[in-house]
Order: sequence, then structure tokens, then C-alpha cells
Amino acid sequence: MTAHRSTWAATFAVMLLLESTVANWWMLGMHGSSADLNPLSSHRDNCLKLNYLAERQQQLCGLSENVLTAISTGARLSIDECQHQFRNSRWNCSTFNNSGNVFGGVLSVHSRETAFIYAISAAGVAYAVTRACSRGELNECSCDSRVRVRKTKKKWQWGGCSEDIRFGEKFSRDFVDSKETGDSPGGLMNLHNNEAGRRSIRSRMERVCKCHGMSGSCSVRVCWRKLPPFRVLGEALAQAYEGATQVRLSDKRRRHTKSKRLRAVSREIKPPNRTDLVYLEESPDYCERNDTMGIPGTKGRVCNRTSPGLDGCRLLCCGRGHNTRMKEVEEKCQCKFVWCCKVQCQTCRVRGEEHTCK
Amino acid sequence: MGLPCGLPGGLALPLPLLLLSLLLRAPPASAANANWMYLGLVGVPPPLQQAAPQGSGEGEGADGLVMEDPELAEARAVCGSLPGLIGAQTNVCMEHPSAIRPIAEGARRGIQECQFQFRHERWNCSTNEREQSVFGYILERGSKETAFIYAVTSAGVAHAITQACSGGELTDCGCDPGRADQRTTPQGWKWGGCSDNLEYGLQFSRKFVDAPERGRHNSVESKEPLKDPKARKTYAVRARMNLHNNEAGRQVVSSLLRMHCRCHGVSGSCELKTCWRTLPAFSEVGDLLKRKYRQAVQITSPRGRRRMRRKSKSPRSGGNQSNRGGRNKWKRSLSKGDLVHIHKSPDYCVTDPTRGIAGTSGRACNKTGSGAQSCDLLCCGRGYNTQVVKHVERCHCKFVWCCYVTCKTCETVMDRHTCK
Repeated sequence: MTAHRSTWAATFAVMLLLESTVANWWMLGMHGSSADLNPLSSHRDNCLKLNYLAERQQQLCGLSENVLTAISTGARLSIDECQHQFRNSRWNCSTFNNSGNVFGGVLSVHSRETAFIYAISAAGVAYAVTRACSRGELNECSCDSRVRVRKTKKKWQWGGCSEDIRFGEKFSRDFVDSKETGDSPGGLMNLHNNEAGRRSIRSRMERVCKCHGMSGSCSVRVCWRKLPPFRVLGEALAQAYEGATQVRLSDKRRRHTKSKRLRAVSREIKPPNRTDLVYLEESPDYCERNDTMGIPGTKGRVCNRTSPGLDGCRLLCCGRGHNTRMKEVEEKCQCKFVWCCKVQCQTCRVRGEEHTCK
Repeated sequence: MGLPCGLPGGLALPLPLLLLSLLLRAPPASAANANWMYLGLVGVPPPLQQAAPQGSGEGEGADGLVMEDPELAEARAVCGSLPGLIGAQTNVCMEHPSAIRPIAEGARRGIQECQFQFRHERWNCSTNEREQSVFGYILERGSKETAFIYAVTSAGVAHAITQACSGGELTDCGCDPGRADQRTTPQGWKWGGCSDNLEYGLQFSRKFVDAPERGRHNSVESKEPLKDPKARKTYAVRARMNLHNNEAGRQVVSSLLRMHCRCHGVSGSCELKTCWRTLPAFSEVGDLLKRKYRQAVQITSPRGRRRMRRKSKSPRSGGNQSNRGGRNKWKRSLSKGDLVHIHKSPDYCVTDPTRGIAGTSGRACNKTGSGAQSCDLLCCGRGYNTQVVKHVERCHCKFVWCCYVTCKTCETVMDRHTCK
């Protein structure tokens, strides 16, 4: 076990050397990442202790007390969502606790998976900060007052606390993008995907209304803007991941300006807009375990024998076949309602098949 | 009821046949085995030059019957140039030269239906016109897909031959004679009109479509000597699988045979009711076969037994796993109408020419939705590319007095998604 661990540690050391510009702030989303912080010292000092943050990120973190919590929430949200969206895929968004780079060597390839990670985490920060704003947890922001000025056509009016996604986006831009530069193709790609992640929120804001008046007569109807559930964003970005565009750095120089841009690899492919994800390299094969890349492989993963999709044994196990074993699961069963007011259940043991990849 | 044979062609067969079989074996066998289904792709080529062909060979009915030689010559002309047939099939062709067009039509129908039924799936029943094996290496594997192909083409031949009988295109058959006597049934109606003679179509399909498999079955050594008993066994199992699926296809056609009735009498008073049997539309056959494909049974053939057995003891894939229903299902023996297969199917995701798999790269898919055509399932997780496609259509058409129509051209821009 220790030998095993040490090989992993070695691989990650290598990976860290290879990837000096890894956006390590994702560490905040890992459980126990802020355990070593001293609750008695000031938040500014605590932020300075987090050496995996860039300088600008430390500054932003030190703005006020709850910023760090909000960012951590955002990182956690995005890691969870990533793992949910990819639960059935060969790459299942696995994270590594003992690595500075949360997602392992997957990030060293500028692949579609990397694009998704960047997008969802930029969205996560924007989302969590916006939510913190409307809850009054941050000093820098509050509800969105600009919405209230807008005219409404029908019989309702703006009111309540509209969540200020603009601030969230701005903060996310400041915080997440601070590590990237537009010099390299990889940096451009990350910036693009960060922005795509943030934009996925804006167009999906919900409007929630409430009726007021005598006994709910709805003589006055007040509406405000609310963030969508984060799952909605995860699904949208997963869809964007499926349709991500492969790009390359364009060679054209535009009128003396030296702006570098990413273009689709083929003219036939629709040029990506700001909400599309882009990637530079094809994904590695996630089938086999690859220690240098930090890919765990699909061996031992639970698969669905009958599904034709990615979670089906055929695709998930990459043609290696699967093992089947009987597994007993305890379930609640024969539930009865007992007056008043309890539900009594028995536990039944149900035998079911479990298939795992060879 | 057997096939009405005894046509003069049967007498003088051996010599020309020998020539023919030599001729037919001659073309270099392409990578996979040549196949009669090739007729469905290329149709029946024009007869060889020496005979004066009268139309499409339908005209030789009444006047050709007396003169032996010209008919034989014509049969040879028609059957001599056919690709993909084996000796026994050429025999059938020589006996019934006019049936070869319906056979080709049946194969075409089967292939087309296959492509329609599988248009959204990873394996889309793609064919290769340059290969006489039609489906390439796919047929080498005894998978569910192969089972479907055999069933649907065999059904296609039965269907097309029966239709040709009713249409009067064949000399050997017509409407179903068993349903033509004018007696009134106990239910108070009469058989009338032209009942489709499916029995003839089925027999014909058995004779023609099953011929290669019977050859495999009985005289394995005729083609290439298989010394290895294991190879011989797999060969035999495979022949049994094909025969079973051919029969299953025909069974589906006969299970879908319908009865049509019509009332006669003053203002439709139905004093007299005549009924006849009609074939189902071939799309119905395809639908039912597709359902059977989903429930196809994997089989093995235990040593020393002629009967096939279900391989797995688990209930049908996707079936309910309730204890009560399941157990009986396991024990249920194979029925005639089940499609059976030996091998598991590959995933058909990635191009693999050595196994005849085209892969799904470049296939158009559905961005939203969850069916088989959704990019999710079709692209096997590789993602999709988006292209912008311009559709130019004529639109806002107006009628201008008198007499022409002016239209505008409209351009609609659409996103087209194709698998990576």
C-alpha cells in the first residue's frame, strides 16, 4: 500500500513539474482543504497561507471574510457536478486528494475534458459568489438593483432580491482568469472555456414571481431573477462538451494587431461562438490505467449490462468484457403506515447482479 | 404442397449447369463470400447476348412452352450472368427463369427494409455495391444483425414471389388455388377474388434462399474440405442458425397474412360476401422482425445434438427480472419465429475494415433527444461536429393570372451535427 502510494506521489510530483501553471485553486473544493486554517487569525492571513492561490487570487480572497467560503463552495459545486455528469463515462472526473492538481494529469492534455473542467469551475465560482451576494454574505455586492429599472410589459413588477449574476461573472473573471494569459494556445483555450462556462448561467436565469394582495388575489405581482439549479448548468455544459469544437491557433494577422485567435480546425465546421467549448487536442484513451497521466482506467468500474450507451459494459469496459457477481442489497420494504404518524418498514435483502469491468 | 416442377427445363440441365457452375465459380471470390443478395443491389443484369430476349422474360409463357430449345437458351441467358449464386440456386433459376426478377426484387426489398429499420442505429445496414457479399464481413459473424439480414431477405423473397404469382408474372403459379372453390364457408361467406398464394412463395424461398445453407449443412466438404472437426462444427452450427433465421423471416410473413372481405348485393346489403387473403405490406414485416431482433436469442448447439439451445440462462435482455415470470422464460424452448444468433455483436462504434464495420464517424445525429439517433448514443462518446448547412428552397409561391407560378427562393440556415 505504501509503495503504491509513493508511486502515485512520484507521478504527481512529475506532473506538477510538467504543469507549472495548473489552476490550483480547485483545491479549495476538496474536502478538508481548509482544515489547517486557523479560525482565530484574520481572513487575510488565512488567504495568504493558501500558497496554491495566485497573488491576485489571494488578494480577492482577502477582500472579506466570506469570500473564501464562497469560492470553496463554487469549487465543490463544480467538482460534484463534473462527477455527476461523467459518472457514466470512461473518464469519470476522478479527483485526487493528495495532489496539488485536483484532476490529475488529465489536465496536461488540452482535451475536451479539460475544456469542461475549466468551464464548469468558472461557472461554479460565478454561481456561488452570486448566491453569496444575494444572501448578504459578501460586503462587495448585494441584490441586482439594475433589474428593477427595466420596464415590464405585463401586470407584474420587479421586486424582491434579483440575484446579481453580473457581479458573479465579474468576480469569476477576476479570480479564475487571473492565472491564464492569452499568449499560448492553451491559455487562450482556457480563457475561452472559462467564459463559456460563465455565459452558460446568464441565459438560464429564471424568473420567479409571487402574488400579493387580499387573500392571494394577485393584485400585485412581484418578480425577481433567480439562479437556475446548478444541475441545469451542468447539463448544458455537458451538452456543450459533446459538441465541443476542435480549434487551432490562427495564423492570420489582422491589420497590424497581433491578436491571437483560435479557429476551428476545418472550414466546414461551424466557428465556435462564446458559449461553445473549444479544445486543442484529442482526448487520450481513458480505457487503460495510465499512471503518468493520472488516469485510473475503467477496470473495476460498475457497468450496465443492457445499456447501449456509454455506461453499458460494452463501451465502458472497452471490449475487455465484464465480471458478474451476485450482490445483496438491503432495501426497505413492506412499509406500513401506523396511526399516528409513523411509517414502519422491514428491511429486505434483495439479490441483484453487479457487473464490473475486467 | 411442393413446387410444381416438370417443366422441360428440368430434363436437359446437367450439361449447361456444369458450364455455368464453372463460370460462376470463376470470378475471384472477394474478401468475404459472395452472396445471392447481391441481386438486390445490382438487379438482374440483361441476358447474355446470344438469345433474343423478349422483354424481361415474362412473355415466354404460352408460346415458349412448346419450343424447348429457345426457352432453355433464354433461361441460360438469364441465369448465366447472375452474380453470387451457387449451383443449386442456378438450378432453381434454370427451372424458373422468370422468377429471378422477383427474387432480385425480394432481396432489394429486404435490404431496403433493413436499412430503413436500422437507419438510426450504430450499425445502419450499410451495403457495399462493389462487393458481391453485399454486407462484407458482417455476415461472417453470427450476430444478431446477421440474423436480421437473413430473416428479412428470406421474407423479402417469399413476399416478392407471392406478389409476382398474384400479379401473373410467373407461369408456375397464380392465385391460391385452395381458396378458389366457390363453396360457402359455415360463416356464410365465400372465398373469392385472388388470394395470395403465400404457400408457393414460402416454398420457393425455402428452395432458393436456403440452398447455400443446405449445401453447407449436408456436404461440408464440397466447398473446401474441413478436416478440423471444430471448424466443421462451427460451420454446421452457423448453417443451422441461418436456416432457422430464414425460416423465422418466412414465418413472420405468414403470421401477418390478412383476410380482406367485400360485401356484394343491392346497395351493399352484404347478401354475398367474398373474402381473400392478402400479403401484409413489407414494412409490417420489417417492423415485426425488428421487434424480434431486439429479443433475439443467443444459442449454442451442444455436442452431438442436432437441436439448438439457448445459451444464457438469464431471462431475455432487458426483461423483467421478477422471479415468477423469469424462470419459465428461461426454460421456454426456442420457437420457430425467434431470431437466433451465435455471437455477440460488436459495438459498431469505430471503423474496422477487417471486420466490416463502418463505424459511426460522420453519421448525422440528433443533438437533443435520447433515442438511438441521439449524438449521445450514436457517437459513442466521441462528441460531434457542427456544420452550418444552407437549404435553398422555393417558397412563397403565388399563382399569377394566367398561367404561371412565381416563387421566391428562401434560404434557411440549419445546424447539422455529425459524429466525430
